[in-house]
Amino acid sequence: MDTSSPSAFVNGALLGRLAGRKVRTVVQVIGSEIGSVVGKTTDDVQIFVRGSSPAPLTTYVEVIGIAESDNSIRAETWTNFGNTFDPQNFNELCKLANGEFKHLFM
Amino acid sequence: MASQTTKQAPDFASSFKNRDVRTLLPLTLKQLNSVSTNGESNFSIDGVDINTVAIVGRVARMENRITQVHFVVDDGTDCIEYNCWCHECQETEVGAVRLGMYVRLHGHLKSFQGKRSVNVFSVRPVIDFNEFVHHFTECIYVHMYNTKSWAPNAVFNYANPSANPYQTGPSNQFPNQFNDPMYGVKQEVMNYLNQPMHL
Repeated sequence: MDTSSPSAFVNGALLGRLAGRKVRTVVQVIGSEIGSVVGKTTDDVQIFVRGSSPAPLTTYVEVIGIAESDNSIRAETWTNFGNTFDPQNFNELCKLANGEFKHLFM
Repeated sequence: MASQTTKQAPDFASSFKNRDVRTLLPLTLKQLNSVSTNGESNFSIDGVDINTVAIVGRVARMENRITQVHFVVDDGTDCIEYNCWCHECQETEVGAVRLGMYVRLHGHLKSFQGKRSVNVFSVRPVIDFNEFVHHFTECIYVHMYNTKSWAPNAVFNYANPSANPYQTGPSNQFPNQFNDPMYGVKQEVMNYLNQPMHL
């Protein structure tokens, strides 16, 4: 995978608009099984993140990968973002980065 | 963008030469790669001269070479490359950087023979990932501050905040909500950044 290509900041509502494209989001881990993680986006949308996740996972995890549908991502990069991450701030950033200030990011 | 790190911050007096304004600008790498230039080392963005830049991104690649370590940092908007001499890496905070780690970089934007690079003089691992979100929010805020009509002549001076603390023109210190079509957006951003958690 081209790790240098831009990845759009997305929440649950934005994920469906970017199907097939490289995205990045932060999810709160709800559950995990072999090959996938169930997480809640910063706007409370439940999504499935497919791929080999690191162990152990913290409460919040950033995933970078390809948006497969409006509720699933095929992740290539996982980063534990800890247990004290503020999802509201990230959610607002997603709106700004895909709206009026998109030209600063993409 | 290849560059070298230095063990200590460079001599600012010689680096800035005749420049009177020292700026520290948080930028996305997409912004960094789109800055305008009017000379070998005169860069500007949003009407503000660029001296020192702050970047937050993920170490996407790290190659140990004979005498130096080559880094590629990706913040999701673009990539930047820089080199660190091996002896400097071991003696400075750069030695703590690992592949896949999120880091904050500070450096000077330079140009040599038409090729841009960043002389990185500070690399620090990100510990609290709220800093990752804060950096991009700050990029947006500074961009807004430097481009919108409510700060027509302001120069955001992180290096010397007492000199220009969010100043606007003397006759129009506050935005005019009746004539300013962007008033609502500006107020929304200000309200968000003025929340106690961000102060």
